[in-house]
Amino acid sequence: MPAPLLEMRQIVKTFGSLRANDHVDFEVQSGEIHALLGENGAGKTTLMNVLYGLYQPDGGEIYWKGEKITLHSPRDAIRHRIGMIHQHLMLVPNFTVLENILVGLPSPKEPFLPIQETLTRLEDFAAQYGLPIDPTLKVKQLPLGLQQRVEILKALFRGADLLILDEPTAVLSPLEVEEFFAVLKNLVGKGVSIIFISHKLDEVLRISDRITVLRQGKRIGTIETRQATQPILAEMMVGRAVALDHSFPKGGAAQPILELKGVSLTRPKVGRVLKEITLTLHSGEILGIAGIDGNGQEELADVVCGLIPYSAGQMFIEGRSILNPTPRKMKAAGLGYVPADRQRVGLVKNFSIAHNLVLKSFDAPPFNAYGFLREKVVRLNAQQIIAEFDIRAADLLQPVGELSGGNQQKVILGRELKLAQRLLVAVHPTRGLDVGATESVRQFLHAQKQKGIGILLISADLDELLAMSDRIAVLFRGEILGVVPGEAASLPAISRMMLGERLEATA
Amino acid sequence: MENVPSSGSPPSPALRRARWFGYLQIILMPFGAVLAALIVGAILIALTGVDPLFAYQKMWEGIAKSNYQVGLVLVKATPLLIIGLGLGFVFNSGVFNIGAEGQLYMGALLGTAIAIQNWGLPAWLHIPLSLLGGFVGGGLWGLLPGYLKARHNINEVITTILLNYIAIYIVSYFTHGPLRDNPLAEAALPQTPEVQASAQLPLIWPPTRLHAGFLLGLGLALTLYLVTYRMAFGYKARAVGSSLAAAHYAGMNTTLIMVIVMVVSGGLAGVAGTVEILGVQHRLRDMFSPGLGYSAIAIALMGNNHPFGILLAAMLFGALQVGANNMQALAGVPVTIVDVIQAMVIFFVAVSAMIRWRAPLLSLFRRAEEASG
Repeated sequence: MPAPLLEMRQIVKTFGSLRANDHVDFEVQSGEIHALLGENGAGKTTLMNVLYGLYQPDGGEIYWKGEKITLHSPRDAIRHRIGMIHQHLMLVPNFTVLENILVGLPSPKEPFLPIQETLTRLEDFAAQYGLPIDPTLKVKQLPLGLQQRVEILKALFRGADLLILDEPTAVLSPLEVEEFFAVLKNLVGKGVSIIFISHKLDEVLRISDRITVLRQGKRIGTIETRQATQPILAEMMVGRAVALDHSFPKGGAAQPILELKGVSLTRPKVGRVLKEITLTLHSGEILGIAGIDGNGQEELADVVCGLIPYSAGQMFIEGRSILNPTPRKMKAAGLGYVPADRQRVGLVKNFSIAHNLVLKSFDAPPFNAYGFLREKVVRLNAQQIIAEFDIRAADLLQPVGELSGGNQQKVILGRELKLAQRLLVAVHPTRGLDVGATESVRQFLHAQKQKGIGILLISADLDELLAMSDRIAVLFRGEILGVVPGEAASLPAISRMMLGERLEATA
Repeated sequence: MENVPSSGSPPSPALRRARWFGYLQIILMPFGAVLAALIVGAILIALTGVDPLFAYQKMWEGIAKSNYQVGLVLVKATPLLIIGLGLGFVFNSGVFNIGAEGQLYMGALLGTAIAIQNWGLPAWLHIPLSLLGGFVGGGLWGLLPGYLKARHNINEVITTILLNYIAIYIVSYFTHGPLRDNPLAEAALPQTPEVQASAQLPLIWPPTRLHAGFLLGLGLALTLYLVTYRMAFGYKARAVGSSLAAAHYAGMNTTLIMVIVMVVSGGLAGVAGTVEILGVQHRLRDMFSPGLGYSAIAIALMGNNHPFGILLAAMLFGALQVGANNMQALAGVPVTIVDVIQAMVIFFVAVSAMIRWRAPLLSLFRRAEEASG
């Protein structure tokens, strides 16, 4: 095997008590796509931030093209022709594509910008790498897939022999992922090496040449992709055998619980966020809402749960019209709500677990007597829920902000599932959770469904929706474009609707 | 959090130790701040040519030499305590009321206006009525910015500061005009007539100047502790302060809560102003407050917004003031230096309140635990 393009040896990086990288070895061969796989918090991004000069390692060495290098800042990394595309794109939304590419580019004719030269080179690049784009459009007008393309072009313009891509597919729709993979293959063909960070097994298996797995800051191993399978990788990631593709039994829906009729929401300065939504959720049914982030999903949840008053339309619960819903009214109607932003909305971070578990019921018996909080009952309640939901915490008085994401989500579920006597609205309930926590959250939701609770499941994770939902509705720019059965066969239709194609025959 | 023990077991020793150190730190940091201010103050005192040790000895004597001095400390602490309690309450809800000074003036105005009336009321009626007037005056002055903040999201820091000026000049107008004592006299000062004997707060520890207002302060501290940490309302108020979005999501009436805490905090500042008139000054004078409403912000901060912490902080500030006066009188330290030391205490308290030590401590203990297996 030839000398590697990049070799990281025994990298150590510690944050406080957390060892994010524990003597990690990592190497990339010239011209390969090397996937870096691991659960959230396994240390993938930390390792790459070390490579990009954003973090200084506490130990270890980096060899680049056979020479030992030290990276003090991203500037050094760029100088060595290492480029990184972050999970959250770092573009100026109000600039055009051209202006964004010019940002940080040295100009041969200071103080003027090399506009004409850049335009010419952009055409070359587009042809060479198969990355066509209109340089005059503002970035904020572009879909996320094209914005990502701008980031890649930016990195290529600065010169990149190695591209680090941090969870690049997280923001893309299934069709955009296909296009993106084609671009990656093309780049590798032109001599660019790629590090592909992901926690999605199927993508890693499809696109990469080799896979390195990290777990809890340690390197577990590196294998050739053609020798890897999903179960092998999952076991390396989690440390034990995991049941994959666990699909839940479908069906069992009964009478309608929640009905929306022509519900619209108009917000000042933004315009119409929801357009005449008409939906029916039945008891014992999981109705999935698919869509690319920012197409009105979170607003739909807020409207149903009474946090935002809707502008037009009607809402019914078990056939009874709900006028001017408020969070209290909806709670009284038997609704539980797992919000998208668990840290800011779902929890009061510096309150204890016990107090967070009564966030919606503290002011009524049995938790309240004559205006006083009955601390003993509050703690008893917490003890029960902590045991039932297997919340891992130091004790029930621990501030909820100190818990891991999965345990925070369990605190919310523990509270909301008790309130969800008729229906539950869950938004991105497993986002950012590791495999184990994700699985238990899905089990909890499914158990609710079997009890006859209707669940509105809003998720950006199509696999999750397909595994869990009886039916899936697709939101695009605030509009329901169609409703299809929650089966894998629906995937092509869902993908097309997510990009705005209207489905004629709805299920 | 993988290695965290499961729910049922007691907290790990590291966590318990870190929590314990956290509490210790909350208690110790204010003392550190005072110490730091005194050290810097010693340098300034030395620069003026006075021996700092001699000056500080006079300061200490001023605080604790006699019962009389101790009583004086508590008298000085009383208005700071009552305002500080209200501010701690409002800060807990995430509303930053800078308007205690103005609320104090408006409360004192209305309270005094009632206290000077010769209605022939008995003391048990006249005093509470005057204090109620103080609460209403201050409360109204808090209601306005509270409403604007809750309803229209207008920054309360700006509105309360502006209202301070308005309040001070309104009182100025009344003490120069409608409520002026003996307006026809040649050398009449801008002040109201003396409050009726029936409205003066009784002295509770003769011969010291300590008056019943201090007991009122203690009672308020206990009440606010119960409301904040034991009652459903305090739970709501703290939820609003910690995360407005979460409080809204939980179905709390966040706007109403914000208005209520502003009214309570303004009302207490008004009560403090009235207590100061009924217990000490007995007349409302133009510009009567030496910035009590601003000092109380530092006291609430120093007391970590906790009623009992505020009690301690108010007494500390009272002691500093009385001691500093003595130091000025007997050691010849210029009054400006005394002001600088007080301002430095506030500065160091504010800085230390911003520094969080708990997390690093926790990691330190965890590592020590790992090392010892």
